[in-house]
Amino acid sequence: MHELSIAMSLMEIIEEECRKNQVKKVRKVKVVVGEMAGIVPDSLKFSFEVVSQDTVADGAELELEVRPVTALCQDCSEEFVVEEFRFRCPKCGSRNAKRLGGDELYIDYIETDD
Amino acid sequence: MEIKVKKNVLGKNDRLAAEIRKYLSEKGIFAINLISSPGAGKTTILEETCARLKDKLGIAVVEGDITTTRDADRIARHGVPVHQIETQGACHLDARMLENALEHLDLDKVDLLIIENVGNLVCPATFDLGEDAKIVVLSVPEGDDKPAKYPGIFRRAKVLLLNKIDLLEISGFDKEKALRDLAEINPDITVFETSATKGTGMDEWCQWLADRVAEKKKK
Repeated sequence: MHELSIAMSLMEIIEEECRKNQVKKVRKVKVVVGEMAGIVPDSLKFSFEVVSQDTVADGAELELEVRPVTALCQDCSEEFVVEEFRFRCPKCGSRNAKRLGGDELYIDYIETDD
Repeated sequence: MEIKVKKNVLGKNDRLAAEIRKYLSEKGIFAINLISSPGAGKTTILEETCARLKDKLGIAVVEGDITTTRDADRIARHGVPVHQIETQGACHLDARMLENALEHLDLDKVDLLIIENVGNLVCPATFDLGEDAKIVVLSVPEGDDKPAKYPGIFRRAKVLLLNKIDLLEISGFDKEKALRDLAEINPDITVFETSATKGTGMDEWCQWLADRVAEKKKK
C-alpha cells in the first residue's frame, strides 16, 4: 500500500502549485503512470480520495493515464512494447533491449475552477 | 484554468536519494538495498554476511522494520554498527528515513552499507534510496512463479539470492522455470544459489560484495 505515500506526495505538489497560482479549488488532476512504476491505479485513486479530503482538491477527479513499458532492441533497433516485463525483441528475438518508457510517475496538469 | 505541472511525483524522494548516492560515493561506500518477502531469510543472510566480512571490511547496517528491534538486535550481536528504522506501519523505506538513519551511524570507517528493507516485494521497488544495487532475495518455498508475478523488483535488482536452496527438492520449486522467467525479465541479473543457514553459496556472494566494494574504492 505505498500508494498512500504516493498520494501524499501528489497532494504536496498540488498544494504547492495552487499556492503559486492562487487557486482555491481543483477540479481535476491528470497523472501519467508507467506500467513499471509499480502503482495500482485503483489503489492510488482511493488513497487520493482519502488524502485530498478537506483540501483544495477535495472531490477532484484523478485521471490516470497508464503508459506501457517500451524498449529498443540494441541488435536490430526495433522499438517494441514490452508485455508482462518480457524484454525480448519480437522481431529478432534478442534479449539485449534497452528500456525506453514505462516508469513514468508525474503530474501532467491540474484543472481548476478559477 | 489548466496548470501545466509536469512534475515527478517522487521527485522529492529521488532528489534526496541522489544526494545520498553522492554523499556515499564521496565516502567510497558501496551500498546495497536488500529486498524480499517477509521470511525469505534477509536477516540470516545479513548475519552470515557480517560474520564473513566484518574482519575484512567496515560494515554498517540499517534495518527497516514496521515495528520491533529484533532484527537490529540480531545484527548487533555480530559487533557491527546497526541503526533500526521502525517505519510505524509504512510498507517500505524511503530516502528521508534513510537520511535520518545515516545520521546515527559513524560512516568514516565504513566500506559497505547494507540496508535491509521492510519485508515486501512490491513497495520497496518504487523508492530509490541512493543505493548502488538492489539485491532481491527469493526463498525457494515461496514458489517458482515469483519472478513472473513481481517483475518490478526482479527487473531492477542487480543480484538475486535464491535462498533456502537446501529445500529445493521438498518444496517442488522448478528452478529452470524460475530462471527462464527471470532471464526474460532481467537478462543481466547475477544469481547466487544460497542457503544462509547451511552456508551454501555464501562465500561466493560475499566475494561478489567484496569485489564491488573494491571497485567503488578505486573510483
